[in-house]
Amino acid sequence: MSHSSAEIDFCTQSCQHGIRLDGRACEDFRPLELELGLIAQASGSARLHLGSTDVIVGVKAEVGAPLREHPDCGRLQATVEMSSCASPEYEGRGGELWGLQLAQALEASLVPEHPEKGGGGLDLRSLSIIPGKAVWLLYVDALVLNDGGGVLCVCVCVALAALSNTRVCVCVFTMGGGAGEGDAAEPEIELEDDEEGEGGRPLQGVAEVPLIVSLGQVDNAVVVDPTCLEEQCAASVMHIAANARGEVCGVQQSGRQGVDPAALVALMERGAAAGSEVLASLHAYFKQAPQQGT
Amino acid sequence: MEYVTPEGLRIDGRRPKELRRLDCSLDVLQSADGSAVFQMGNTKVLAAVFGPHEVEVRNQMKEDKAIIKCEYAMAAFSTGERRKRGKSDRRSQELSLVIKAALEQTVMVELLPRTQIDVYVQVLQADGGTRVAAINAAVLALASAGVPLRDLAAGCAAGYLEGHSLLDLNFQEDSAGGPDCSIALHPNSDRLVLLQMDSRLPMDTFEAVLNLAQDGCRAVASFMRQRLLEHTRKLAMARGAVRA
Amino acid sequence: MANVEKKVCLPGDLVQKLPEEGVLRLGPGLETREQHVAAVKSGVAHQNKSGSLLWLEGRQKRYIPAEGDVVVGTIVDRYGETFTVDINGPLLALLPQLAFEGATRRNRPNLKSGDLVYARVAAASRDLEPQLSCVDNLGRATVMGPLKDGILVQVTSSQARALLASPPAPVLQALGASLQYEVAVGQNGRVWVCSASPRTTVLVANAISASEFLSPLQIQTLVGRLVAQIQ
Repeated sequence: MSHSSAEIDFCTQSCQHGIRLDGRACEDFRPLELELGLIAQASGSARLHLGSTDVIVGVKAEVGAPLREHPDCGRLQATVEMSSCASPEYEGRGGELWGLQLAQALEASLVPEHPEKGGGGLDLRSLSIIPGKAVWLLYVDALVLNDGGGVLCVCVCVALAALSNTRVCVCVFTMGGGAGEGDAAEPEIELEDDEEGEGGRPLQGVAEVPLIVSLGQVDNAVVVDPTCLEEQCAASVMHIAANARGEVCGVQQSGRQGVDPAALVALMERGAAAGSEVLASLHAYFKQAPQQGT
Repeated sequence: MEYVTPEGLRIDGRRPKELRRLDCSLDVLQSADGSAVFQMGNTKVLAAVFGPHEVEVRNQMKEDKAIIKCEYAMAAFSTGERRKRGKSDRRSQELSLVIKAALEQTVMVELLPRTQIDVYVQVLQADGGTRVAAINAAVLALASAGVPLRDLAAGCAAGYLEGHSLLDLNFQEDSAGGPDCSIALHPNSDRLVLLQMDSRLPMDTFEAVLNLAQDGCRAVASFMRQRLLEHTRKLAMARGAVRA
Repeated sequence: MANVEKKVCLPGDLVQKLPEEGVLRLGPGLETREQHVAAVKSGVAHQNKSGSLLWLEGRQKRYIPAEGDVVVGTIVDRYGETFTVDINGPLLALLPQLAFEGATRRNRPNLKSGDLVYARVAAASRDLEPQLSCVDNLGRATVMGPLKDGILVQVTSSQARALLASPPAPVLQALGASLQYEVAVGQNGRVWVCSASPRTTVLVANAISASEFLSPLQIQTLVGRLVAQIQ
C-alpha cells in the first residue's frame, strides 16, 4: 500500500518525538492475539494477530524417508503463502517470491543448521522412527491473511505456537512385517491408535526455537515491531532472531539504506532482550493452553 | 463402507436431509473492503472483496458493466492429506470460473461500469461442499463491502448414495463416487445461478436430488439473512442510527 | 404513503411499494424492481418528512461519489492540465489545475504525486470519472485546497457522515474542549488531522479511529484518558 508523502513525513517526525502513529512508545509491540488448535485436520495449528497482521499456520506430520546426510533426523519443510485475501497484489503468482524468502527465513529459525548436533531449534533427532529408514516429516504451512507490517516476525511466532501445539502419534513398528525377505525386509510401521485420547506426544526442542524481532531505524529513532508505514519511513529494518536465553541466533538487514555498524551491537542487544521477553510470555501461555483438538 | 445405516443415520450421525452446522462471521479482515468466513460442518472458507476500483488491465475493461475477478485457493493445511496445491491447479481454476459465473449473476454489474471487483476465496478447512461454501462466503463478503447485489445467493450441495438422497455431503460421502449436485439460488426469485452435476442419474432421481438441494439452499439463505441482519442492525445501533 | 420507519434492509429486500402518483426520489442503495423499491445493499432505510425522498445508509469502506460531497483526495498524477486524484472510489477522479482559488495559466498550484487536497465533487455519474473542484461556483476556496502536513485517518462511510453532522460529533467536541487541532473530513472515508504538536495530532487521530462505536459517555472517558496522558 502506498502512503502519501504527508503521512511519511509526519510518521518520521513523530517517531523522533517518541510517539508512533498508533500511540505506541518506540519499544512497544502491537497487541498480540493468539488462537491455538483452530484447524481440525492439522497435527498442530495456530493463528496470530499482531495489530492488523494476521497469519495462520498449520502443521502436518507424515512419515517419510530421511535425508541421506542426516539419516537419524526428522525433516521439516516450511512454506509461506501470501493469500490473495491480504491484497490483490498477491493474486496468482504475485506473492510467490516473497513467500519463498519468508519460508527460507522461517525454516532457518525453526531448525538448526546441523540437526545431528542438536540445539538451536526443534530437535529433529527425536523425530526419527527407524534410523536411516523412516522419520517424521513436518510440513509447516503458513498462510498470510493480512499484512500490516512485521510479517516475518509473525510467521515465526505463529509457527512456534503451532509447533508447541503439535502432537505426533506414537509409532509402533514390526521388523519384517513388510515387503522383502530376511535382512532386506522392510519394517512395517503402524501409527498407534490414539485410544486413550492423549493425542500423541509433543515435539522436543520447541523451547529452543528463537523468535524474530524487527527493529526499524527511522532517522534517529529505533522502533520495535514497525507497521507498514514505519517500514516505509525507516532507513533500514533489522530482523534479529533471539532465543529464550536472550542469545542472538541470527540477524538480517533490509531497507533502503544501510545500517551504521556502530549502532549494530546496541540494536542486536535490544532485539534480543525484546525477543526473550516475548518468548517467556508465550511459553507461559502454551503451558496452560488446552491441547490441539481438546 | 456403509454410508447410511438401516436406522437412517449417516457416518457423522446426521439424517439424510439434514444440513451440517452452519456458522459465519463478517468483516474479519482489515485491509479488504469486505470479508466473511462461512462454515458448513468442518468446511471453512474465507472470502475477501476488494473494490469496486479501476480496472487493472485496460483492455479487459467493459464500458457498460463491472468485471469480476475471482480466485479460489486452498490452504496447504486445509485437506486431510496435506497437498501443496497452489492456485493454478486445474481444479482451483475451474472453481474460480464457476464461482465467478454465479457472482456475475448476483452482483448488479451494470451499476458500476468500467470498474473491477476482486473476489478472493481461501479455503481454510475442506470437508466437502467447498464450492458452495465459497459462494456463500463470497456473497456475504460482497454484502459487507457494500457492492450492490440483486439478492443474497445461497448455495448447497446434495448427492445420492445407497438409494438415499443426501443433503450437504461431507468429504467421505463426496468421495464415495455417487452423483453430486451443487447449486446456488437467489431466494427471493428462486432462480438458480449455479447448477453443476457430475455422474449419470435417472431423471426422477435427479429431480429428487435437485429439490433436496434447493431446500438446502433455502435453509442456508435464511441463515445467511438472519446473520447479516443481526450484523447490520448491531452496527446501526452501535452508531445510533436505529434504536433497539 | 407508507412511512418507512428506519428499517434495516438487506440486498434483495423490498422496502416499499412504488406510489401510484407523485415523484419519489431514490438515493444510493435503492433501485426499482417491478412495482417496488428494492434495497441492493445492507443498511438502514430513511425517508424525509414529506416522503418524497428515500435513501439507504450503510457502512462501507469504499466510497461511491455523489455530486456535492466534500472529499479528501490524494494526488496520483498529472495529465496535461488535469490532476488525477484517488478518492477511494471505483474510479480515479479528475481535478483541473485551474479549479483552485486564484489559479491562472501562469500561476498553477504546485502539487505533486502524494499530496493531499480537500475538494468538492462537482460532477459524478455512473459512467464517467468524478470531477472535482477546489473552488465553489463563485470561485472562492472557502475551506478547500491543498492540505499540508498532518496525517490521514481512514474511516467508514457512516462514520464520515457522523463526523460531518451538525451539531458536531461527540468525539470532535470532546477533543476540542482541551486541544487545538484542525480536521478536514471527507465523505469518502478519509479524514485529515493536523495540529501544532505531533503528539496532539496522533492523539486526535487515534481518538477518531477508536470512537466509531462508542457512546458519547464512553467517548468522553476515552478522550479524558488520552488527554491526561499527554499533560
